[in-house]
Amino acid sequence: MIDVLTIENLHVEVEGKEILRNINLEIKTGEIHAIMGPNGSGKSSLSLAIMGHPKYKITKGDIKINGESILGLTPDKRAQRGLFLSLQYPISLPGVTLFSLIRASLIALKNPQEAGQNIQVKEALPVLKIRQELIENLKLLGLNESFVNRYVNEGFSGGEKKRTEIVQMAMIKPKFAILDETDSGLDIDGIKIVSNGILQIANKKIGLILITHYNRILKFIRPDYVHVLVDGQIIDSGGPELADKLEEKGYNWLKEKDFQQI
Amino acid sequence: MNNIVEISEESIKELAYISNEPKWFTNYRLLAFEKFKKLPFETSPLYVKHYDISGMDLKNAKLDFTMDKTLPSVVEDFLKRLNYVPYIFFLDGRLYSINIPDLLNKEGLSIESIKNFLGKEERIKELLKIRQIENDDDKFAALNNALFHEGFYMYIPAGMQLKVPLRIINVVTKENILSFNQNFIIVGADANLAIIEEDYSFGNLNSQSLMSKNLNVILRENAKLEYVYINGYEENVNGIIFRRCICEKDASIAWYSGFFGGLVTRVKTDNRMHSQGSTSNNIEIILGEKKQRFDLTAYLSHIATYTKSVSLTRGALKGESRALFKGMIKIYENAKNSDAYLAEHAMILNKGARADSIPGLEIANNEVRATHSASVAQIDEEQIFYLMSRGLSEQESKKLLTVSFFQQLIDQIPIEDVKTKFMEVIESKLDNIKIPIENKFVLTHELKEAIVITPEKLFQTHYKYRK
Repeated sequence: MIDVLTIENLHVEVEGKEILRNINLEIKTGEIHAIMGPNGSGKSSLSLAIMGHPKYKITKGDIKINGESILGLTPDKRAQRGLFLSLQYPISLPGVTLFSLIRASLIALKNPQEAGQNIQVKEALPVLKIRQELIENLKLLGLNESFVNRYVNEGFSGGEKKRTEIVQMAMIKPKFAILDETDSGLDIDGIKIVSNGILQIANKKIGLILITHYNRILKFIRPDYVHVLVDGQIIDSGGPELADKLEEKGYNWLKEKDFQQI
Repeated sequence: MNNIVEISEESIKELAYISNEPKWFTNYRLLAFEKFKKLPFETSPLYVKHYDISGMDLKNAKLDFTMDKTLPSVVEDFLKRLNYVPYIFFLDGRLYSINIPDLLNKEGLSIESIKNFLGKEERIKELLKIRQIENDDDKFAALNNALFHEGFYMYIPAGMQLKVPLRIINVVTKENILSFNQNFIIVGADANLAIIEEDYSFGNLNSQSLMSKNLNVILRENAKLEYVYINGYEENVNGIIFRRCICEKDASIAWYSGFFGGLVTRVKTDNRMHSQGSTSNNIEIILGEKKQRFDLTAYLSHIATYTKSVSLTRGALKGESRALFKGMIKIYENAKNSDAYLAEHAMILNKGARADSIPGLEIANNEVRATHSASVAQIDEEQIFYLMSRGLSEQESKKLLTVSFFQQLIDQIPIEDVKTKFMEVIESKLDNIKIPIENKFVLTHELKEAIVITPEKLFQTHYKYRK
């Protein structure tokens, strides 16, 4: 079954300032979309708005999964509908091990009504199996077993943070994953490993939204669609060739092209 | 503000009469009572404005010299399980029973009621001498001196290595009680033990009580004491504790306290590292809700050289609860090469809750290391968002973050069953679930398995003292 994430005429405000205007996107499971744009163009804001960060107010438009609006839902409910966000700057959680986070997350996603209330649900989850799967996914992303019991993102290098975010995606198995600058903080070998990991995990079943400001990761993960976000608007969309052109000519080329059209 | 309790000189004279005390001791009490009336809530200039006993209402509470002999059956059942373990049991603040397994008795472990001391001239002097220094510069400690009429005197003989934690349990079943206990623990040289002290209340207690305790501990050379304290009172009990440990050479004290229950909880812990090489460790975990008040002070008093102390306080406050974390590193002139660390951190879980951390340093020697850190922070909204984006509800996210905030301190508790208990209490409080009294008591593995404890399992004598 194919699921569809639709963003319709989305306008977003932060602290009274409009930062995104008229965003339209349609992402189906199995597709790979890249959203490119210079720093400060609103890429991260878009990802946080989709996930339901309370700071981002939707002033107009809608976000839907399979035609049903998710605007009224808190982030946890959106996660339960199949959304996943890998943050550009993953937050550290001192005292919370990666394993306990994933376990809590799987309990919540599997049985949202009973999470935290019902001890039986907790015990019904096959703890050993989760642990084993976690170790396998860590290995896939080039990380060792010790991360299972390390506090989430606490003292991780930039690259380790990005890798464990992808490990979380692998464990959660969302329908749609927004990966915000997963390539930043990774060296070239890291990008290769992480890209392979993402492709293997997504396995043409997850709808991927890759947010990046340069082309590096797109050499390993070829997107089906590329959208260019500048000053809070999508000013161009196209196939993977658009990313190549952007690398060659820079974002100004598109801006100029845009002005010429006006 | 001095009419915290409805007590007069007459009450003290009545108390002295009942105990058949020598006259000079009654005068001692009356003097302490005068001090109580005159003293402000805090004397240190750093803290003079920082105290909080708001909500404490003792106008109906009274001294009670009668003893209700019937034990609630759940408590009786639990005490039966403790048969092979040394314990001291208080009912409504009154010393109800002392259990010393024969084996320990033969080896010289002794616990007696301080009532055996009060009527006898020489023995009161003995008791007061144990304290070494007066504690009556604290308002409530002075009140306790004026009124104490219950308590225990415990002596752990030199070299004894007690393998099973000694238990001190206080259960409050009545309302309107004013209780003043003074307890004494002497741990002989090279002895080593753990004590678990638990305070609970249950039943419909509609009116407030005050449970006041002064605890005086002396650790002789190289003695080691791990002291767990759990405050699990229900809402109408105020707990005021003044505890002081005097460490002789190379002795070490470690307090692990969970302040979860009660209405007003005011605790002063004074760690006095009196002789070279002694260490103290103070771990405090606080979880407040509703209108609970926590007023906690830790003193790290370094009197001799090469002494070491660590005090770590972490509190999470929800509802309209409030906490004051005060701490003082005090390094005396002769305490060269001492090392002190004091940390007080609070996390505010919602608007309406409040905390203040006020660490202080008084250092009279330059060749020392003394550091402190303090913070009061709202629970991090970005962390909550991160957890919610992983599917956890807001409530679950807050719970996970609160538990993880305490995790590092809980990890330091040396007794696994106590760790589990702390976690259970914290989680159920965050989920607003009440634990029934019979499940509140700490069950150490010996009790879970209900094994008959053989001498090998119970204790060992240090090689130096083997006969």
